Amino acid sequence: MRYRQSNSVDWKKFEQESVLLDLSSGYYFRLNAVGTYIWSLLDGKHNLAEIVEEVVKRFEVSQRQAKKDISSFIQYLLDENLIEKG
Amino acid sequence: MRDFTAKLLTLCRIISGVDGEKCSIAGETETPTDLLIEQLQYHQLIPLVYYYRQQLQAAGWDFDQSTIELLRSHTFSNISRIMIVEHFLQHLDGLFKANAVEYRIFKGIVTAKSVYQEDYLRSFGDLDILVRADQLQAIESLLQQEGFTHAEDLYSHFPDEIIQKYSFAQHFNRVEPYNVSLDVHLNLSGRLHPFQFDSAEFWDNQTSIAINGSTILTFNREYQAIYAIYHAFKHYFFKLIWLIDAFLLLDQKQLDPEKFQQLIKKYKLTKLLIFYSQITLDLFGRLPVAIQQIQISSQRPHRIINAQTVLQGALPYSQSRARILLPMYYLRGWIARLRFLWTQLFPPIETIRNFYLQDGPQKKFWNYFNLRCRAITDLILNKPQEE
Repeated sequence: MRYRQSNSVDWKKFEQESVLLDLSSGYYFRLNAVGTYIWSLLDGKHNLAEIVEEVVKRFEVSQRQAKKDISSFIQYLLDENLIEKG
Repeated sequence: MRDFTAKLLTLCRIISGVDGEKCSIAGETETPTDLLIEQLQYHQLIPLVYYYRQQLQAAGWDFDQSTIELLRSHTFSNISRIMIVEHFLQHLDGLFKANAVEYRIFKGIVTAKSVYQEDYLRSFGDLDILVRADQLQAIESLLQQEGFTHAEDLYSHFPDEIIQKYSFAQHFNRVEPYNVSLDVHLNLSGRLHPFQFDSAEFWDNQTSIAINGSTILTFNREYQAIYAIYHAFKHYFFKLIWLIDAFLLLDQKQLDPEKFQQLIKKYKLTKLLIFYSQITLDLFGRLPVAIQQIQISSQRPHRIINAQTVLQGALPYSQSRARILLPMYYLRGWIARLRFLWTQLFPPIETIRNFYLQDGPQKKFWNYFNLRCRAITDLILNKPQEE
């Protein structure tokens, strides 16, 4: 399964973090450095396994922990309509 | 408070690039964090303080980690605010262009985009646009279609011709999907303001800024600068961000000092510029490049309008009293002052006729009558308050 950022979301990087702005609701979300990196991979080209692999390479985290955290992060983004499947 | 004002002074010196004194004052207690944030919010300085935190720390401003995180959080909020405004303006520009509505955007967002290193460093609330009076109805209708409501004001119960004649700006607000407030200006100065601008001249001297791919028209640099000084004056210089705006606008090398001086003379702002320059020199340690030739060193700071009162952010008078009395310091000559005072207390017959003798609900009369009574009462009974 691949995911891509929703068209109604604008984002801006600030230092190591980023701001996501949901233009349909006006809510904004603040992502930390790891979240920002994952967000940049939600481009419709990477699947979950590939994202996990990239995160494990870049940050000090086990594959198992990364998969668990990234899955719940992606589910949160889906629930908030910040990303779409496909 | 002395500790806080010393810190603000240090920020000003960092912005101007002048080495300043250390910001802690011996014997003064450190300003508590909640009060510090509250005061920085009042002066709209949080993103700037966060941006310059390392230089401020080097100058003696002691930030703990929780304060830095608080400043950072507010800065994030401001970044999102800029993003919202950019998207809204892109949409509004398309809507106005499709309906042949002309406008000029000015103040907050323009200053943020033009003179700050990063646009998020300039906090602002409302968006300000100047429009043609004959397009006001079309604009109102478009804004209502977009979900905006028109905020009630002194002029709300008057017919359109009175609004177009007297109203300085109409305030519109929208909450969904995100909060945006828009001040639609018909003029750049109210009819009873001490200084009057020719809005058509500002309109014609235009330049453009790029916002989210849209090219939006605004006033050119000299006009932006003169309006920034006027705006700071209009609000008694009591928010430091307005003085930082004016400093940065006047410190641009691209600004034409001669053209700026011509505008100062044309709009009779010479004395106001001297006040502004004295305060700026005391705050920033130098004058911005466009006005470096101004001679002010022989003057002592004014007892009411000076750098210390700006840093304290407190009005020495009630707002009504300040509105009438403070402009008199900036007007040249007793005749101009007395004329201004007379106009404030006893408006011209035409104004009285327009406001008092209109047909319709009594509310029109009472709104205006109450305002006049309050102005005279406040002038006599001074009740200082914070703005």
